[in-house]
Amino acid sequence: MTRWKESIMTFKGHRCIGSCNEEIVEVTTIGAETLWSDPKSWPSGKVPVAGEDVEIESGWNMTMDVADTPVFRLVSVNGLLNFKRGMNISFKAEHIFIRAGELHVGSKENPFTDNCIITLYGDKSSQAIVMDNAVEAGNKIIANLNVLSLYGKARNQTMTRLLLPAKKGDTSFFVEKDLELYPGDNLALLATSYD
Amino acid sequence: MASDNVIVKSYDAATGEVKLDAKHTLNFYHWGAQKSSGDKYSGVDMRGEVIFLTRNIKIVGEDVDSWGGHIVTADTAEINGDGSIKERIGHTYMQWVEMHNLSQIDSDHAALRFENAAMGNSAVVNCSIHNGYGWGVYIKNSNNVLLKDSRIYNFRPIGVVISDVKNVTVDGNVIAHIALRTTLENDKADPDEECGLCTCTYTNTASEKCEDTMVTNNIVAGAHWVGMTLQGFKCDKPELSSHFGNVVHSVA
Repeated sequence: MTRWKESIMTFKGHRCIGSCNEEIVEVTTIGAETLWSDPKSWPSGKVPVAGEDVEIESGWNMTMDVADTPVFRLVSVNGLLNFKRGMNISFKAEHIFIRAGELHVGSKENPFTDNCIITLYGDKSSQAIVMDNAVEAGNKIIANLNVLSLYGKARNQTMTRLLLPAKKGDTSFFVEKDLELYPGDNLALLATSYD
Repeated sequence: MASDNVIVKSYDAATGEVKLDAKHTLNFYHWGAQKSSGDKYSGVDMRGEVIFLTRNIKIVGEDVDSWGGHIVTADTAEINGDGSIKERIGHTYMQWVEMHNLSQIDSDHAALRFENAAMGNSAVVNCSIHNGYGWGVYIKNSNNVLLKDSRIYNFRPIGVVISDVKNVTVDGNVIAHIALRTTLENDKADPDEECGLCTCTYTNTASEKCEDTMVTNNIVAGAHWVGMTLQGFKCDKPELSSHFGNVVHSVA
């Protein structure tokens, strides 16, 4: 006896007529720095809270100065967003859409030396953002249509070699001397055979 | 795939000894020696590579159901209400950035994707991109991208794909532990594409063009079926493509 199993498959897509996003009135950034943590920096008079859509408007020069943010929904960057130096920052959002603006953490000349973690939230069924007709953006994303600039602290090495064989079950191994390696660092010992 | 991902408990700079927590022992044998084997093997050092994945700037996907985050750079043209067109051009510059738990399983949403990013320029240098369930890096229909000295570890079933590009340089990277896809059933008539570094050969069509593309001094360590593919070039036009100094090992 043949047993049939019914499956339902749903296809979702989008097609924008004209632009996928509302027009932005773009103005030149005037240079006056505003702080994310300051309620006066926001049109609502309140610092954004968890689950909110947040827009860094065109012309703004905003500095992220919150050590541990709640999880925002969509952060639209249409102005300038810099991460403050001299503090560790954990920034959380479902989506970050850099459209007409710029997101900077450190700079080439002056890299960011504290710890910065940008965490993207969501699962497979989360709502996707729409960026353009040609590129499928999806969800849980940093979508960049302008400038994303991240410069971290340099280290003296990013790869070394094993100086002695390391065996299964070992809890130590030998590499070069005088490396910049710290407790908690994440390493990968790559395959030297195929298993 | 015989690699080990470990966390350092301590490091003795005088002796070079790295100690791990007792609960994080090595799962595989890795060959090592005091001196490079380059003299014996045409310059190839056979000693096991140890790559550093930690950086102080991190972009992380929340760990939910193997569904990572991802980063996309693109260009677009927006049509305003008055009919005018506003072009937007994506530029991504990253140095010493760690990307972890990015890439989306069973899709081409690589951890780091450049798609239709043709008018700007981007550079990803000394970054680490690791531990995702999908592709590592996808550079598609894009121009002027530099991927240099970065460490790309544990993706499936693709490490890096370059497809339909111009002026793209992939230099000095290590791409490792590119595992088999375990979710979709493979149809024998239409086998899955698996590759460590796939240069202008992903679709296997003549229309897939790469101009001014350099793939140099990269290492692929641990992949299924294909470590690296490189597009050939016409004998009289080597200047249109340049590939040299690459090493592939531990592929089956």
